[in-house]
Amino acid sequence: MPWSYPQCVAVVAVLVLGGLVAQMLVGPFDFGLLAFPVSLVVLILLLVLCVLLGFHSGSVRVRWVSGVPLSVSLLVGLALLALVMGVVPQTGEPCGVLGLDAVARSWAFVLVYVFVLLSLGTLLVRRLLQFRLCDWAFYANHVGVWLFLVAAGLGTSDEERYEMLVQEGETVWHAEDEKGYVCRLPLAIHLNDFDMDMYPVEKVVADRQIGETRKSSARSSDALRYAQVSTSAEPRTFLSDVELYTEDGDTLKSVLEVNKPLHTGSWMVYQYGYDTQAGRRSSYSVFLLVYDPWSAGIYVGIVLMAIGSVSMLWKGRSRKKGGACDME
Amino acid sequence: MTWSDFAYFAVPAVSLWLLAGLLVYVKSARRWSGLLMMGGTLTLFSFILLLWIHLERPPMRTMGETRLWYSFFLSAVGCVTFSRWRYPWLLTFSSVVSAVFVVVNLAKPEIHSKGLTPALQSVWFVPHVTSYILSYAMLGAAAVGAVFLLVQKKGNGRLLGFVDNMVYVGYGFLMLGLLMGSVWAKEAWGHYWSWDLKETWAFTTTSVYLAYIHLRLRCGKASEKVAPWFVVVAFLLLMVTWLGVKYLPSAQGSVHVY
Repeated sequence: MPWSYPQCVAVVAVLVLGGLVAQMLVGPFDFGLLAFPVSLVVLILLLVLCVLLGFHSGSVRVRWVSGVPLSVSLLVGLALLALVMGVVPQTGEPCGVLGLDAVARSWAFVLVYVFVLLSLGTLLVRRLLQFRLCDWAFYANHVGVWLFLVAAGLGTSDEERYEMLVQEGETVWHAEDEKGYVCRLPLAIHLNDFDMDMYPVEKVVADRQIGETRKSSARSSDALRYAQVSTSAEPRTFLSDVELYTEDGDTLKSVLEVNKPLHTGSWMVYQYGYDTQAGRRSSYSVFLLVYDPWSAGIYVGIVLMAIGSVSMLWKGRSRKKGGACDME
Repeated sequence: MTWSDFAYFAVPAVSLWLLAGLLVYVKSARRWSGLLMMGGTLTLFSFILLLWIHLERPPMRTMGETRLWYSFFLSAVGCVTFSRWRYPWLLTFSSVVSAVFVVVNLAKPEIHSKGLTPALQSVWFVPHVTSYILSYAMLGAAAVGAVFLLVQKKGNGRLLGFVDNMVYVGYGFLMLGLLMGSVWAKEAWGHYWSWDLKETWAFTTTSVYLAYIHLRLRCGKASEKVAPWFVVVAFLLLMVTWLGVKYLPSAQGSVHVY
């Protein structure tokens, strides 16, 4: 292997620095450019590139691209970028020159991300060409991560989110997108009924000195320090009895609740909100409609990674016999 | 059983653990230490179960409640790994840290609201949190092993093998927790990954553990001398993810602040 850690770290550093320079020249990466059908073209190009590289596993360069030192360096690069994201408050509208306030949309992050996909994809092709069933956990973990990262990255620009407000007894085909534009959707919601259930209100004692509340006790007789209060009513559940119509003429009946969305095709429909002033007497319900054509890739990726993770729990680090790394 | 009865369980559990952590260094009494440790663990677990029944929901919501689980899992992991690997320091470490978290709960329970908001009422809630807390316990043990490796300087293949195994198992639980959280997030608010602050820190932590796992695949100086540093750094990042995220200026608007 001609290139080891120093060179790999340098390559990742060049990727990050190159990303920062690109950011200064052209501003943040525009995910809108990747919208379908570009996302599909990028996916095919990526696959072709990985297969071409993977078939040349004799080449030193291909071994380097898909090798351990580069994967470690890329992972450290990703970790450092995410660390910046975790420390610097991230904004909706990037305004910093280097893009540190919107790392997930910065050129540096996108470049490292693409390189990860390339390195991982090439490795997968190489290892699939020498397929061994006993490597099933390796395949589950790596195919899972690759699918998840591809679908999450390319899916960013194809995902659409809408908010829809429906009065009881009405049918609505229009919803507001994230920029506030009203659009007609390929599905409609008819709200039969909105209902909610509250937790019982409790009597508690508030301690003015330390600012905490607790249930009444003998110590709470000091009227200056303690005050009798009621807890505010908190919702236990809120739900909407709806009928969903599609343009094909299908009708789906469902009761939507938080954590219980309705799934139809690439659409998910969520119970999102209600008239908080009116509470359970709210005459309308608000729904969130999410269109994500890439979500199948995400779910397959998640299942594969879960299988791989369970194998790690089960086997720990089982070494191959006669492994050169054993020091004993 | 409520938090006001916690001391009746906490004091016996802590005493049993600390006794176990000491006796493990007394040759003639060593075989009792495992049993004492288990006794303390079961004492705490019975409190958790009774609290669960009283609250009519899993006690996993407030900071104080997650600390209960951390103590429980850490001492349980201590029992199991001690019986497998026979390192006395492993038992002492898990007993002392479990005791510290129980004492923190005695001093500052941080128990707030009783009900679960609708978004938290999900089948994913219990496995998501338990999987994480279990991984914290495993990765904590790995971090202590890694510190020993760094202090000892000379190679210790058996200890390195132990750290490897703890990282693999801990990483498995960490990843399962992350994946379940992702599925839950999709069900609750429509996206499986939204770079919420806790997610971002979890991503950083996971990447460093993954870097360790890959670094260890090959032999050489990097694999044996540098890799333990990764385990220590990753554990510090993990602690920020768990306990420190809410204090960061970037925490505004995070759904994971509690």
